[in-house]
Amino acid sequence: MAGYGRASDGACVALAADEPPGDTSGMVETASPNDTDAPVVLTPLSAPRLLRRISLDLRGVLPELAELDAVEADPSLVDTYREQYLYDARFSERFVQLLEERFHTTVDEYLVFYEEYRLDDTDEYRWERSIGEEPLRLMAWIADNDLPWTDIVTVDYTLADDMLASIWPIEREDGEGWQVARYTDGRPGAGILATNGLWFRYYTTVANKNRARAAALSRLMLCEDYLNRPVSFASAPSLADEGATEEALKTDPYCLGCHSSLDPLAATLFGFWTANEYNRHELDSYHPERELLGEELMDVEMSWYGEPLAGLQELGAAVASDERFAWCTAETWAELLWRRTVDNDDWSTIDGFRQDYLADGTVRAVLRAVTDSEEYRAAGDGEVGRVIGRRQITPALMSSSLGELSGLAWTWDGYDQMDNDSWGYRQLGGGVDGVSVTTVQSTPSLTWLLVVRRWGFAVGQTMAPDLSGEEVRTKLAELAWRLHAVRIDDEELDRLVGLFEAVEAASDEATAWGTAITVLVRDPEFVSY
Amino acid sequence: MFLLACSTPVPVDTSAVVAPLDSSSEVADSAVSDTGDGCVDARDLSWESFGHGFFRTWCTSCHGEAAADRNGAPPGVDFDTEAQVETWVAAIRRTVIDDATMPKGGGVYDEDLALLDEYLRCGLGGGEEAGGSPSSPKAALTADEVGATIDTLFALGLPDATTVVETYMSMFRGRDSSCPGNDGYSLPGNFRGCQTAGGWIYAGVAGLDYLGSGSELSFDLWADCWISDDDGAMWIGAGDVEYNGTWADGEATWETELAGTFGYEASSTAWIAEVPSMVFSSAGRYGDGWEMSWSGSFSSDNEAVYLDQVSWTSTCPAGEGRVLLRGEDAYWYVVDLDACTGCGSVSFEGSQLGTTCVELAAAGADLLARSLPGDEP
Repeated sequence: MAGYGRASDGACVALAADEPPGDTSGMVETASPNDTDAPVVLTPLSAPRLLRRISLDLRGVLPELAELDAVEADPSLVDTYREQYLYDARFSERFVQLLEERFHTTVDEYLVFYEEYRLDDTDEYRWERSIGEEPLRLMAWIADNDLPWTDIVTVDYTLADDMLASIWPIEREDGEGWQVARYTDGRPGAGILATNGLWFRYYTTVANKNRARAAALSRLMLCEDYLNRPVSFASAPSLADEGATEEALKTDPYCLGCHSSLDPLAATLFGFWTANEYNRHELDSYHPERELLGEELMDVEMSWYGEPLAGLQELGAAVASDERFAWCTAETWAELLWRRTVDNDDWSTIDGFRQDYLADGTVRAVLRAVTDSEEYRAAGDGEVGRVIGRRQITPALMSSSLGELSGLAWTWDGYDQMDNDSWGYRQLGGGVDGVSVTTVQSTPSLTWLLVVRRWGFAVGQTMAPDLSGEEVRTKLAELAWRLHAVRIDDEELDRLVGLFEAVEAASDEATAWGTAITVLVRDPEFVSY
Repeated sequence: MFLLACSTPVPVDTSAVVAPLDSSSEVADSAVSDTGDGCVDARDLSWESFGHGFFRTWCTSCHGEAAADRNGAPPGVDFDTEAQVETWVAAIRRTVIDDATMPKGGGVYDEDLALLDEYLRCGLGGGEEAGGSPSSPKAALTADEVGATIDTLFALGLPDATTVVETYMSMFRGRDSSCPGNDGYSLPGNFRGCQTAGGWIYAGVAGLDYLGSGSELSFDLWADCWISDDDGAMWIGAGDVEYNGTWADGEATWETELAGTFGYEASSTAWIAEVPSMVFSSAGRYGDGWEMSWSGSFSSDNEAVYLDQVSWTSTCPAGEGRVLLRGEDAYWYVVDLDACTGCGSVSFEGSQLGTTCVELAAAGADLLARSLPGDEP
């Protein structure tokens, strides 16, 4: 890393590894972290590093050598490649990875067990992921087909693989992998709001009466988290007194603050309310006969923030037409791609993304807007103001980028070891498990480092080419360029070649490659982007 | 929703934030300027970009014209439109920003209060209201078709708790000494299931407390299980079934509740062979005359019917109450039965479709026979 430098006006400036301060016109200005009087100018990423960031964010893989060479020669080609990446075959898979960080549906446990479906032990991981990915695959399909993003809460179909088709009341189109499918149990169309995958994760109990689901819906679709609101239980009855608690929800001001809107929304979800939340037959199927039960049990009328609803069949349209849905769409993708939470200081920028989205209606419009933003294209080490200049690679990105590079897949007994915590290293590698860890790790840790090391050596051994002499030097330089999008200088390359030769002499060529490539993979230029 | 940091705070160097532009505002936008009246130039706070969402989040569940339960919100004090907000702007400023007495329970984030303040000063008015209400759905069935569909479901028989438990108990005819491995009517919790030598499979967990003796019948079945007979036909039990009935002084009384999915594919009893999903309660008295109520719903093969406080008596065997039938688009047809005729008006989303008759008398008579706590001692 190049660290910080001083611009001509004395301002403290963050420098990218290969980037002089350069032209700072049009840069976003914030106050310096070290000097509250002098503004800090954000340095733009070099074109190759920007291309690398865009490629990882939109495709989950590194740019090809030719692409890096092209933008190094002509930085204006970055946007051309960005457009290609938005329509790359790997876009959908990466989109699902990003959604996992937000929707938290790819958990390792549900209230039911795979054994209840008479599946073999070897099917457990596939069963878990098929369920958790269902709503994410539907959203990715809508995104990839440039359908209106509001379809995610209105369409009358879902996406299903053969696993889901075998265990749920679903009719699925023929084909491999994820295909368009329809539930056959009478549930209305409401996009992801009518998927088992969403409600398996965001379950409810008999007493909870879908309130937890309503809160999840609000957080995910409106970016309004009821759990962030302050609440006082000072005057509330014991929660063990169900009758008194239900009464307080309708009379105590502190309870009404949430429940006046939460309960009528929860009442729309009673087709998913189960008599036994641990039973697969109750969970797998929709219960149309229970749709009216919410109003009776909760003594409320179904509504969307005061607007009456007839049921789930109208909920999707209410969500889609709500101005907060568009805001949340813009905010969600800003957070996912800026790799930080946003606040009201970002209001104008987010409003701009929102307007770009509304003008087009597709989520790709938001992705373009965010990846066009000065913040997204900024370099820097750590945080500069609120901007995350360097983002830490996630287990998902390690897997997809190094997997594509080397052909290696880190699995054990059918489990993707970067994608589970039952036997794998998802959380240890800095990822989200969706239950206890809900945001990606943003700074290195010991376990993250161990995961990186293992990846590095495994990739190195797998990729070991049969080369010698000057070819080794050339190949190492090429690998550095591919992995880092930064030209390795001669001094550093000399050291790397020296290491290779020393290890080869003490061991063998494969170990030497493993060692040398480990060094490249463990370099901050690889593990950050 | 309004750009507040979420559950895991990101360490932010607050010294990097530009100083507030206005002493009353806590927020600062990094590339904007104050227009001199406390309004932040680059921030386009409008009804569409901010106001409607804010008032929906915090206000309209009570202060909405169509809100069913206003929780004490005064009539006419509504915030569904920007014009309404303009009408009450002084009260909003006083109660929400100055005194923090609204919304009930508080909770509006400081940053959003600042935005509200700015919106009320700088952005209120001039916005376009959103489009009108969606059109009402159209009925796909006539009144007669509604009646006929309900009768098709009634012909199966209304669900009852006794049939559920009797069928469940009969499924243990296939047991052997090792599977499920006990003499009673419980299942120990083997989710893969065990298989008998005769080919029966018992899986899951279930427990039955049963008392049937002379003048008393009571049971409580809780189940999370399935049983497969030697032909592969499935019994499914998921939920709770309770029944309490007694004979005393020549009169039987009973109460029952059931919630869940119960059924046996090979049953000779029509309704239970459908393996319906259901939630209902029922009660009755039989002796010198009889009376019975059944309230709840059940569905099979995607047809769902809801009986809302339906009751029969010996002097009114045709019954009374409301019967609702779910339509294809998840909207419900409502049959308001005239007392003791079995007939009534049919409505759909506020529109009257005509009148129909349903075989509630036959359904009630059939249910009565199955609901008694055994024969009179």
